[in-house]
Amino acid sequence: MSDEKKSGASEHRMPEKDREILIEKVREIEAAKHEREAVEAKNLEAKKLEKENTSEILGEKMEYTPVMSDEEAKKIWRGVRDGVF
Amino acid sequence: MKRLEKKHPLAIRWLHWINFPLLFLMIWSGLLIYWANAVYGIKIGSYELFHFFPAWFYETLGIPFRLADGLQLHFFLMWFFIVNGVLYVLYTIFSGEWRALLPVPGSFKRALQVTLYDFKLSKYHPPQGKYNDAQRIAYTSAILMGVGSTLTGLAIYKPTQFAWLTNVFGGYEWARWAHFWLTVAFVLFFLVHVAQVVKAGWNNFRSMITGFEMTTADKVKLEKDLPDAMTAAEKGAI
Repeated sequence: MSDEKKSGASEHRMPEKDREILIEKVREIEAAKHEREAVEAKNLEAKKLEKENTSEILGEKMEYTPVMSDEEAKKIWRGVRDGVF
Repeated sequence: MKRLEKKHPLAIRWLHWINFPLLFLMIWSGLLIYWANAVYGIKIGSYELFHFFPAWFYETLGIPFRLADGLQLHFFLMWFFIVNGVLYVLYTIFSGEWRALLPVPGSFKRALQVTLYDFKLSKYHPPQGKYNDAQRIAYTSAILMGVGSTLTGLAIYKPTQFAWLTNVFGGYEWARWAHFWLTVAFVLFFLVHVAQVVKAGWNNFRSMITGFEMTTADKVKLEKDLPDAMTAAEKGAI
């Protein structure tokens, strides 16, 4: 007696093509689930950090220039030093 | 990759650097006054561990017999010290800078974590804004100490006219005692502050002069404020 019969499963075997589609679908769902969990974990961590940051609690405003190359930063810094900035 | 952080507004820098010589001269002139009646020390029961101050200390600094100099200097400079302090407090209130300075109840736990990190006893450094929580507590304490020094100072300066204030402190002797220990606290604050500034390095010190600090791009703490937090004029200047 086959394993399928022993377990009472249907004798009807799913065509190989459908089986692959189904497996692929399950993989997609699993991947989406993992991605969602990762995002949620990240958000949770961000919220936790926000709670532990006095600056965030009091709404402190931080001011930065846009990111720039080291060379560009040095050039602007010279301006700051010389009072041009 | 780098970016500049706008750290200290012009008013804060001016008030900070004006306070530096003022506080130094207030402590110096205070010493000239204290010498005339040097009564305090650290005692265990009747045994005195340390007397403020040993004779060699006064002799080395040329303090003895300059009470009149001390009084005149102290009573002249105190007004500048008070005005400078009041302007600082008003500026922090109206500019919103208080958000960078004040601690919250959770700050005490985070200040301990910062201290452990500074002593290399922990690898965790809690998130922070412009100042960490230990700095917030220290700087807010310094402001409160300034208020305390002013009030106790007035109480012993004019104990008749400000009799009510002198009484609040428990009388002239207690007001003088508090004034003295607040000064000791200022000296300790100054020593720790300078040590931390040296430890933080040139880039940090320079920001108290220029207002800006150069940071690496990955050190930016609040991405949501970028880059619109800068004014149009500042962006134009870049």
